[in-house]
Amino acid sequence: MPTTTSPSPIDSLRREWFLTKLSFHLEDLPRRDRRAIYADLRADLTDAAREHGMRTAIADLGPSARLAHDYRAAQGRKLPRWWVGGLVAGFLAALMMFMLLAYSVGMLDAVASSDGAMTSAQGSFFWTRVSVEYTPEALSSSFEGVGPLVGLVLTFATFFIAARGWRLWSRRP
Amino acid sequence: MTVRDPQLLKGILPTLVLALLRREESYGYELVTRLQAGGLTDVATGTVYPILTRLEREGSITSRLVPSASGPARKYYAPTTAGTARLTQGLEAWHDLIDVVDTLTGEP
Repeated sequence: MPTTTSPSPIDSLRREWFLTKLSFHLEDLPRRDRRAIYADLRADLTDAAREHGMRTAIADLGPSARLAHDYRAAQGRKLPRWWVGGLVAGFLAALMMFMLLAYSVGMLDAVASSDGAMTSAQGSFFWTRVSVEYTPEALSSSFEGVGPLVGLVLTFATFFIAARGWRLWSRRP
Repeated sequence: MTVRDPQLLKGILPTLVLALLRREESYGYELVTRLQAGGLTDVATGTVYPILTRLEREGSITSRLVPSASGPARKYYAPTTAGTARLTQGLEAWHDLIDVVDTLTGEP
């Protein structure tokens, strides 16, 4: 059903939902380019909806994934995949924290099972000095050293490598 | 109705876009309707818009925003000098290809 003026609220929602789905696939494009694409599509969908209705206008664009693929190809160069980098770096960071936590819990368990022979212990895990204390009054663990800094550097390096960050400067398609 | 190979259309579409914009500047959806009115009835808006983005990024077309009373501002496109040169090259290549096809297939 053609519309004569601005889209109805429902049509506006349909339009914005499509643009939202498209944005999931365009995360790797520079922000300025993404905003330009959304502005252009918003205007063109509004015009197309006047003749054919918003559903048809959106259907004519095709699947959002394919449209995003064509927009990425229009960049003329390979782009970094930031979400891939974030996923891999996030997994690595979580793994490192889990391993450190498991190490400190293991030390606490060893101290606890000594039946009072030990009330504290120190250890080292990936450049981090781990100290634990286990008494009837206190249960604690502390961490010192450059380990967290090393972990941070490893996480950023993993993010950049997994995202193929060097493509930022790539001029080859 | 002739069934067109999408790959064939994909190759010539940038040239057609430049040709139409040289005649008259257009915004995205208007360009699609002009292509469809010219015989490309099955060309989709989702095919044309990324081409406009690519042509603008490459400097073959330029754009200007025109406020619209009934919606978002429209972006009107027009070819640049480089775009006009690219159009000429594209048409020459197209006619050369036609000659080669005619030769190979024995068609006049």
